[in-house]
Amino acid sequence: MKLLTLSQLRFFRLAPWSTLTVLLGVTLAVSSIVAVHQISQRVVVSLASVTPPQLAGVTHQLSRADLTMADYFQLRARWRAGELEGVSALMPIVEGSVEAGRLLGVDAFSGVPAALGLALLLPDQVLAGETSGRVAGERILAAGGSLEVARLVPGLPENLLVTDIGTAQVALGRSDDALDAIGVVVRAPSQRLIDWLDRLMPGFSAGIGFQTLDIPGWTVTEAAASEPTLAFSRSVLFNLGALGSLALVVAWLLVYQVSVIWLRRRAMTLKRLRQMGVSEAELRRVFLLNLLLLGLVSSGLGILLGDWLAGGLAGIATGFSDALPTVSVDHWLFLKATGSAVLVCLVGGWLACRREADPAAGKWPFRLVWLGLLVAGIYGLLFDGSLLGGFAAIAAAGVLTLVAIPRVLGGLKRLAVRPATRYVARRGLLARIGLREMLWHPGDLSVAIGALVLALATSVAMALMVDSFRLDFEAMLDQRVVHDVFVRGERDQNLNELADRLQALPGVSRVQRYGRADRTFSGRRVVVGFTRFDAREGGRYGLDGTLPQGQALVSERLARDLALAPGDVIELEAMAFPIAAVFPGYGDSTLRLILDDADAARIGLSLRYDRLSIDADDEAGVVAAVAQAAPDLEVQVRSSIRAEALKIFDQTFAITRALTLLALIVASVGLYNALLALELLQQPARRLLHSMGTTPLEQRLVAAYRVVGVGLTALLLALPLGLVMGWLLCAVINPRAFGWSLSLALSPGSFVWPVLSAMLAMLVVGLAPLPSEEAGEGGALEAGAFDGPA
Amino acid sequence: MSPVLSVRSLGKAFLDGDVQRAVLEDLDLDLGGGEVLALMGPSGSGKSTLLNLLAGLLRPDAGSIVLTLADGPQILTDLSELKLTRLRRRQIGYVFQFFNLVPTLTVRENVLLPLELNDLAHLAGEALDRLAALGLAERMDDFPGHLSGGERQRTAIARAMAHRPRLVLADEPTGNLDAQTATQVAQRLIGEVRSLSSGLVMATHSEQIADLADRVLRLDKLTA
Repeated sequence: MKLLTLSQLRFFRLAPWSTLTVLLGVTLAVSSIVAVHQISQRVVVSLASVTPPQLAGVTHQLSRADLTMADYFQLRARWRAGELEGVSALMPIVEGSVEAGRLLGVDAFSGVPAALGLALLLPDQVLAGETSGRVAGERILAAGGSLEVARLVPGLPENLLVTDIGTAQVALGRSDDALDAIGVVVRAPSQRLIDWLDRLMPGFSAGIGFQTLDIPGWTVTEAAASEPTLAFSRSVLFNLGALGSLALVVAWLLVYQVSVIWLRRRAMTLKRLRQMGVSEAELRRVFLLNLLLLGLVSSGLGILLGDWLAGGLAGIATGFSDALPTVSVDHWLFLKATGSAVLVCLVGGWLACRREADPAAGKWPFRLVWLGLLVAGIYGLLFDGSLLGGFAAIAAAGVLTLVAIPRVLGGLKRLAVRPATRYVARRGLLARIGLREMLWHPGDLSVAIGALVLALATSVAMALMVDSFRLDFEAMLDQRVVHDVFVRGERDQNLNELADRLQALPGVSRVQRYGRADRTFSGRRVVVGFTRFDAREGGRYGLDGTLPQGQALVSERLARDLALAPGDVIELEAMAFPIAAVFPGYGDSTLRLILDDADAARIGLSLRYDRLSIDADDEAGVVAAVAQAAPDLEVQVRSSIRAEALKIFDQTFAITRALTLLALIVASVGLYNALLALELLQQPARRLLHSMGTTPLEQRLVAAYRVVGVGLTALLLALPLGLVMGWLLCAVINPRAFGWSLSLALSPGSFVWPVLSAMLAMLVVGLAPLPSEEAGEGGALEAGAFDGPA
Repeated sequence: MSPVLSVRSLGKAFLDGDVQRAVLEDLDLDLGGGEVLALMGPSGSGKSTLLNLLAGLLRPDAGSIVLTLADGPQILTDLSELKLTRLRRRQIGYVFQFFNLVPTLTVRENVLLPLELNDLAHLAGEALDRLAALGLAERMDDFPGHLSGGERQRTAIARAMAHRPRLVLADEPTGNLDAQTATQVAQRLIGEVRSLSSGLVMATHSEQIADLADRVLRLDKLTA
């Protein structure tokens, strides 16, 4: 075995370029995985800091009409009796709005982890976050009396106050029996697996989207659903994870293709070894062992590159998160990096060995995979509403295209070999040689073309999705940002007085006031916004006129989560509000309900306004007046809001662009490798052409025609696939992941970047030298591949 | 007989490890139009090297090679790489033992290729007629992979003669054929060369094929 291993290792030295391309390809793929992991970890750490620690372990919330402590104790008794399988803790929750924001009352003795020492609080005391701007001892007004901030704790969101359940009931004016929800910690075996997978692939649970808890008589809500920001971010992580895996898939195709080439180039040596009595299994083991070594080296390099990449990308994409914390390299990262590289190398190599040993046998794993994905894709698209199902549909579309590639190449070959002297253009034979060389071995080149098609199609799909998103986003800006100046205060701030003063300024024609309060519907936290409606304000939400009193507007996200539609009635503080319209969210993950001022007052909301919009002839004068009156307020003029919003939008998608570019580079490396192998195979033809007097330029021309043929074929397949994937992203993934739909816009600009990328990749691959060092142990002559049947 | 080729004091050596090994030394050679010269000698005696030198695929270490064309003599050893390539394209036809044909072109396209490279489309009819005369009329739209060894060599002859080259070089053109087919192919090649009054230099191991030539040059006697 030692000598066999040595022989294989020395072969790598004989084939330095293809070895390097495998190292580069797998390294880039691992770096993509590592970069996504590091960015995800940063987001996870960032999210953890805005999640109430008491609720950090809560996986679900239970609710029902007129929930009381008696219901809680009854449920607790059932749990103690072992009826609630998988539930490891229960916690009663009281939640409501106070002057200072949101008040959360929990039971300090419930057994839920991460208590903050609530038991030490006196009856009227609360805890506030360190970033809340409050001070210990400060008193806060509530419906049932005042509360005292006992101390500030790290990690609490700035507008959240936490206290014991009894204090919350009193402060919110509830009876000492009333509850809003019961927090549940589920630790079923599947939940543990999901938690584990969530660690491995941040956001994974967002992709599954099904409830793992079912208790008859109770409405069960996943904890993430009550925290829209959390759910949104996890969906982003899932999408990033899926995109980061693309380079890995492309690298797998690269390893498979290079392995096939290597095995063919070693065919004579391997044949001799078999004749000497070396078994097929031993040869395969040695081959895989060497690939494993390459994988391990690549994983080390990928970790270094990926960590660096993550730092750069997190810096660029500040729109994704303003201040992402830095994270250290953890064991999960090593596991993912090494696992990815090893898996890609071993599976790619093993499949190549199977194919070369028995071409017919080598096809069944592929058939199994693509058939499985096809079924999963159809099921995911039509019958399963989860994000994972949506991605299964995308994967199925990709795999179907991959499967079609050899057939397409075969069809092109049949077209190309037809006797066609009539249409052979003058000087067309060199072009014909190049194009036919590309089609002559469709089984070999189709893998490289497939990888390129996947990367390009993803690039097209992402561009389509981002452009569609951008158009919708701009439409939203046009619709919503209609006023000249915007003033934003703190959440509990009241800008009424300032509004009156601004209204009195010369040239100010209108001051629109906006307020908001938090409410809970079916276990979900909803922001109830209110303002004085007229036709102009109604237009901001897409209404033809004003919002009729007694009716409400709901955001697309809220409508989706609660299955609401115009005409449905929602109940708020015992008052019924028919839904006048659903307004598009345009990327806003918050669950929103909008009322007219009068209705907000009728349900007992305090009409405090923390945001103002002003129409004025003299924008600068308004800005100066606000700055003088209240220097702490955030003031923006319409043009700067638009520019800033679009800038943040573009930055947000920098990560996705970088990841698709990475996959495209890996695919180009794979293509270079395939063309290198093809060039080696065509060496006798090159020598023949040289002897016939073709110049080096003409020889390069033949190679260029080949590359152009590959590029055009890849584009031919990638564009329709990209369109399908783009539609799936807009119509399936976005609604499932983020709760808003996008209208697919087929702007020519969406295709420019991917097509330019493809052309650039082709140019680089076409111009890259095809080194003579890559001789291997026996080229085309020994393999007998030359002059093969057409 | 008009002169086609004149070689004087030709020498070529290759580096074998650290040692320069002379393959050809002080070789003189003349060839007239329609004349056939057979090169014989054991493997490594320099037959292929001489053919490659005559085709301008290799540069000699010493001596000169002069090809006499309609517009005067051309000293190959004085030409730049590009001019040599152009000269080879227009004035030389080459037939090898293996891999004579571009596998991705049909028989017809292989034969038309030198015409396209030399902008000699008017010779297409003649070239295809020659191909038919060589017994390949029914195989014109087939690819080389579907041809027998003899058919491939006949196609190679048709391709080598298509652009009416001044000099034809053949490196073991019948080496992989059975004796009967080999003789037929060699006779075809010689017949075509003579009909065009070109010169033919043909390396062979076969005494039977060499007997068809006007002259035989045994290279093993020339090397040190």
